[in-house]
Amino acid sequence: MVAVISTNTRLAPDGARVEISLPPEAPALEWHGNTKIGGPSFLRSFGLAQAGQHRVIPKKIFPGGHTETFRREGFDLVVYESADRTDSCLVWAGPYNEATTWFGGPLPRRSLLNRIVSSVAFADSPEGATVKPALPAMGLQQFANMVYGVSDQLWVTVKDVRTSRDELPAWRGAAQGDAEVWKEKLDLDADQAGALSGTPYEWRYILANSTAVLELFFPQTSATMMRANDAAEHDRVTSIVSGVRAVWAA
Amino acid sequence: MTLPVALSLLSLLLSLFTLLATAGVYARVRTLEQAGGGAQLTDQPQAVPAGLRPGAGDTHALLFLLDAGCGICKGLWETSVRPIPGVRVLGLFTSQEVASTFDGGVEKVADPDLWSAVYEGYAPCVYVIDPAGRIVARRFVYGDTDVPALLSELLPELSDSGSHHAS
Repeated sequence: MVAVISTNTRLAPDGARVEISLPPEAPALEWHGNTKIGGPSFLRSFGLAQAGQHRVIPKKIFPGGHTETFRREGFDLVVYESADRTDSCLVWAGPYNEATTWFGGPLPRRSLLNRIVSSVAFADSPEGATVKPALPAMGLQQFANMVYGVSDQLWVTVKDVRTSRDELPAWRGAAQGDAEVWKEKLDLDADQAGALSGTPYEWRYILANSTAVLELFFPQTSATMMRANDAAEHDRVTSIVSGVRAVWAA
Repeated sequence: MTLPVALSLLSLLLSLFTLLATAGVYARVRTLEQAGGGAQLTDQPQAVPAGLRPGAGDTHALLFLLDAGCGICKGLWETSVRPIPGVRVLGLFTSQEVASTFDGGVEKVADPDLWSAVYEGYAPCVYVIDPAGRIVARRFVYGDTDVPALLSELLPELSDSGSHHAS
């Protein structure tokens, strides 16, 4: 009983093409990504999101803070610093997507920011932005690439199987089509664990196929807690877990 | 010249060459490392072709870059593009056919060369251009963008040419 399946093609931060198919029971997701770039005296992690996410920073995260925008070709560079100078970030804001790196302290001096900006190459497209080492000569490595979709009902994380094979459980999973599936109990507090005991919400689901590792997680919102014993909701979770597919084409 | 002397001269030459080659590669790597590393945290200077500059007597040009494939271009054009005194307000299109589907009294320019000279991978975009043909501000416009607020954010700059664009 395969119904209409929506396929999302997203670019991973390193430029890999990721195709994620979701069954119609799945909610609409907002796409994010993560990557790390490191090398000699350089290590930064970058969070990618769909355009416009950084607009909350001056309003909600750093109210009254310092903001500066620099126009580059095809994107804006925006630096934010909180009013008490305890945190700051740098955003590459493209028309479709954006990348953010956080400093966890006052804004670094200009020469360092310049070095960060010139060490990575940001390129935007409707299917996702890429953040890569700018020049091979600098000896920078890119790792911990991931693409994830978020909604209040479902989180889907997709990684390359070649780099995340070690994170898979050591025991054998159940076979599902071309994938192997595991479930792992979530680390819940006693109240939640009691309320969700015996439901599909007390697990996270890990799927591995020949190209990708997926992780599915159904957040413990108040709506989920209310519907925790609804059989139709259990069927929905089951059909999402059994219907999701992903291909990581590096 | 004996054979040992010739051999040692040759190896000396070879090591000299290796040294030069290594130095050359090192210099090249250094330049690559520093390429573009100068001033990244500044507005990138961008100039537009002469055809898009403000007219004589205008302080600035307000350029709407539009294309046929974007869903919100028509709405933006119909609701928000108005003549502003002292400012050349124009819409830039890829072709005459596309331009003819947009109605309105504002100047329309249809030229694929001008369009691709300005296009940055997204439409619709709003550009503010100063009399020298430099782009002073650029904004991406989305379906939920408050365009009047955006224009009034850009308009103070129009009266004050030297100012830097805010946030």
